[in-house]
Amino acid sequence: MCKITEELQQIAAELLKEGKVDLVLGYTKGEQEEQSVPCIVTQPEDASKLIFDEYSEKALSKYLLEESFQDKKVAIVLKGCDQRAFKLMQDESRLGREDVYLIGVECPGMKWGEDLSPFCLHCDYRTPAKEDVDSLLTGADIPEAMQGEPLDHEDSFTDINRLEKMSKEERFEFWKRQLNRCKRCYTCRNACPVCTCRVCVFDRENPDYIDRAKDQMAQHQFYHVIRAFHVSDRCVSCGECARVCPEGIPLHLLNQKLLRELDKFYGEYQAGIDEVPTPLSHANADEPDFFGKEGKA
Amino acid sequence: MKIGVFICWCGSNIKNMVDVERVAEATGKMPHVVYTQDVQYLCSEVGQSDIGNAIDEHQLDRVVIGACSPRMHETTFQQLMNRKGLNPYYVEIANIREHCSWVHTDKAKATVKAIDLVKKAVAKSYYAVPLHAESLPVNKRALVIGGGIAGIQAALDIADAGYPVDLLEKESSIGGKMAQFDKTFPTLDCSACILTPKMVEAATHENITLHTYSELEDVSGYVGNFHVTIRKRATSVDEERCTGCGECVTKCPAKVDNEFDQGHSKRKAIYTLFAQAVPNKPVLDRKNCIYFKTGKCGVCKKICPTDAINYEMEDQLIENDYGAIIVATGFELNEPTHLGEYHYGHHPDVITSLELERMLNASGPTQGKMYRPSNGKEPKRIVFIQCAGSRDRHDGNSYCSKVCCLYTAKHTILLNEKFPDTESYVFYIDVRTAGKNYEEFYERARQMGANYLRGHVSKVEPLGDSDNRLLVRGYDGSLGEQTEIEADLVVLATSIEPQQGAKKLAGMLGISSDRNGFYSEAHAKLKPVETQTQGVYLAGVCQGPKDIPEAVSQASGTAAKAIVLFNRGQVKGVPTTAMVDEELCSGCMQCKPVCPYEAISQEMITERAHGKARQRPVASINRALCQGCGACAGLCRSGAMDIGGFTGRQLLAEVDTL
Ligand SMILES: Cc1cc2nc3c(=O)[nH]c(=O)nc-3n(C[C@H](O)[C@H](O)[C@H](O)COP(=O)(O)OP(=O)(O)OC[C@H]3O[C@@H](n4cnc5c(N)ncnc54)[C@H](O)[C@@H]3O)c2cc1C
Ligand code: SF4
Ligand code: SF4
Ligand code: SF4
Ligand code: SF4
Ligand code: SF4
Repeated sequence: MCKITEELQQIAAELLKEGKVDLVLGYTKGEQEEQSVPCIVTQPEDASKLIFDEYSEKALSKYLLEESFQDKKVAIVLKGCDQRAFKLMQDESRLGREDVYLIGVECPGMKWGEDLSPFCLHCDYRTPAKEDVDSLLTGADIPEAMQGEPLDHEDSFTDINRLEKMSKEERFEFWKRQLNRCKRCYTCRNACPVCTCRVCVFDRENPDYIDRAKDQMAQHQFYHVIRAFHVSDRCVSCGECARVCPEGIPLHLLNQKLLRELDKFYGEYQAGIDEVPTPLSHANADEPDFFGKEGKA
Repeated sequence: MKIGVFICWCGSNIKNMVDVERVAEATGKMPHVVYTQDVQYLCSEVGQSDIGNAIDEHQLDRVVIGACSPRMHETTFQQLMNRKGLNPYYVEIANIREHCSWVHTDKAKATVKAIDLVKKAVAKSYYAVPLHAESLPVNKRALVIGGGIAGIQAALDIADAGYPVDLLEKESSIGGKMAQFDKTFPTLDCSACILTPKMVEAATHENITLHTYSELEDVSGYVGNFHVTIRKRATSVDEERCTGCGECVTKCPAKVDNEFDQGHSKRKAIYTLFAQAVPNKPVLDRKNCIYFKTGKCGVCKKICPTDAINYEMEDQLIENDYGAIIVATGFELNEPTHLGEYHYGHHPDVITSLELERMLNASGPTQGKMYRPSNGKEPKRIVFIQCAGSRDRHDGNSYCSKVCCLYTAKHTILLNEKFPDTESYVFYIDVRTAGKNYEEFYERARQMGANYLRGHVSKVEPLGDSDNRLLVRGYDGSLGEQTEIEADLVVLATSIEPQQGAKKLAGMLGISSDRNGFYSEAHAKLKPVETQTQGVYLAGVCQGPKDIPEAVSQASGTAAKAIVLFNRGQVKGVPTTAMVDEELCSGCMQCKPVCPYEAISQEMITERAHGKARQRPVASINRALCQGCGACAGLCRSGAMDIGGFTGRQLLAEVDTL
């Protein structure tokens, strides 16, 4: 058992025993070896179920918004990106810091199929800051690729570079092929820890901003482009959207491409680390003008 | 729901390009439309009563109009609705004139488009909700920013109507540019003689409070209820104690260029702006004061008989509430150094019109004598260059500065009167003399001997003679040939430009500027003194180049607007404000920073969920502040914010009909 898992189980047991929290939200091993799933522990003796490893990819912070977590004292396991999402929710008045016990964990980088997630290769915030959490557990087994400086955006999201080199038509073909497979199951949105609206626009009935016809290409494009705008500047780079898609649509390429552009226009911004408002949520008079003569590249 | 659709011919304006009968027929087939009619002039009494009768007869509860822009007659139709006991926001207008008949040349296509536009409006009206404006009290006190002739006039008019006014001026005296002039066109009144009494009246008026040496620090609020912070810069001279004796000014050893005289004289570090300054008390310019630079000196403090000098004085922040704000910040003159061909800044005898104005002024640096800055001798031949930096698309401003033709005529007349043996040459593009008695004034200048040459000056260069005179090379259009004139003095009619800080001030006041940087009026023809921000009005050159009579009339216009507002005592808020759907709003407050009117705040609501009362945050709109701009509605990801009269539902309904 790795050091973090060991310490995690200890802390969880203590917190529950002392009645400091009603429940601990963390991960446990799934049915397969390459799978870790969210798990809630309410009894000290069950604390041994808890683990943390390179498959603990789900973002847990979003669960805190659910009804079943209200009016409860909760301890939650947060790796770097998840803590950023927590911070964003806190900045957006969705959660109070006092109500939750945060167990920060050092993240070894999450798997992406056989490889490491490009998000993780680029991540320079694997471990939450000490002052932002109540306990911090370190000592993960860091794979070689994750040691040293994180990769540049261009070097981790190499597929975006490839897309950028395509002609407009080729790129459109590419996305048409990808998005045509979308079932609009909304799993990507549901998993995303920054898609936290009380009622998502795509679930609204009156007015229905989007046609509910689920077989129309235009509607898929509509959905994905709108969602990209809603999340790109707030994305905490957990990688879940692309990971959960049952159709294997590489959503990260869309969202991260937009993020890359935003960084160029407004300077680098890391949601959940830098102050709100996020770049797309405010405007300064001296900002470059996308649509003006100069802005148009 | 019973909708009536009315299509206006606008005489022939619409009817000639749009088949109005077809439009009425096509829209008549839409659901809920129970009545249609096309009318010659909907805005006329006849048209109005046609609508009124139809409302009565067919029990209409919504009215859709296809006519001119809602900016023209929206209120007319809304008032009609009111009279009929219907909510004014149950009338929807499709603009089939400016957006259709006026801009198209193919009647068949224009008709199809007009049908679409009216259909859109009908669809929008399906989802119209009644809206109500709130009545808000008005604070009956005005703030006038800028104490030039325009600001002074506006302040006096409002004060005479019995309302208190604060007059804010950034310099140490009110008066503006007019205080620098000698005589004024077209009557050649002495500028000081007509200005000074007004300055004194403003200073002594029981309803006017002067804040000189002061600038705007912050503005919040809305029409009727502006909250303003004024920064009164430290003058280092205690106003209460100072008697204005001027001992300090006489003894101060620090001399610097006098800006008021355009650098043609020196002033002290402690100084009054000019002899007739109001208030007539000195201010200490800390940048140039020896005491502030080195810690030594203190002569003024020692000499002052009333111990009024206070080196420790600090800027003061004054907060006040106002119902209306008048902006009269005037202009600046372009420094024509970038127009290299005129040699300005390289040869001391190339000067600007304002410098000449100071020279001609009996209380100016030369007591009214003309001299050549290079050698102090009286100039015999003076060349005037018009439009220096104006009407110049390449190196200057494309607009006309409007007053230069007349003041140059004035200068040649004054020179002729005072120094009969000087010769004046004027290079011009055209002479613009629209204005009462202006053409006559220009005629007079020519008759008195001014030589007008139509053409461009290509270069001004030193002649290289012992007198250091100038050679002006130009084109004389009437002779059709190049001319060269040797000159003792060259005077540039430099371009009138907005104040340097104009943009910043606009930002604070929430008003906009045109492409040249002058403040924009709300409507070029029908609302020339209003701005897009209610309760903020424009007077004088800050809105665009103009002469004194125009600036004064405009100022009185703004005063009338403020007085009307104060007399009414109440303002109606905007009914088309933002509305929060609390069910959807998560209280994330991303909308708050985008609101230009600071109308959004967070509020806690109590909600019952699963048998428990729980508090959660939502956004809340101050309807008095909100102007319905829609920034928040565009921003909110979950669409929790809507604008009354333009809800997401309504806009989508419009799109869906197309
Ligand atoms: C050389 C020359 C000669 C002219 N001769 C004539 C003539 O003979 N006859 C004629 O009819 N017109 C003449 N004009 C035009 C005339 O100058 C203007 O019409 C007139 O001065 C306009 O007055 P104003 O109050 O709008 O602006 P200004 O006179 O510019 O006054 C503006 C005032 O606002 C103050 N101010 C600016 N910004 C701020 C701020 N942010 N806060 C506080 N205070 C501020 C300034 O200090 C100034 O006191 C002449 C113009 C020029 C350049
Ligand atoms: S998870 Fe995949 S299939 Fe489902 S909505 Fe998202 S992109 Fe479409
Ligand atoms: S957009 Fe995708 S990568 Fe970004 S936070 Fe949401 S789920 Fe994670
Ligand atoms: S897609 Fe947009 S509206 Fe929907 S949950 Fe995400 S951020 Fe909110
Ligand atoms: S209206 Fe929208 S942006 Fe504003 S607080 Fe509510 S959810 Fe956030
Ligand atoms: S519409 Fe929204 S952003 Fe605009 S003034 Fe109103 S509250 Fe502010």
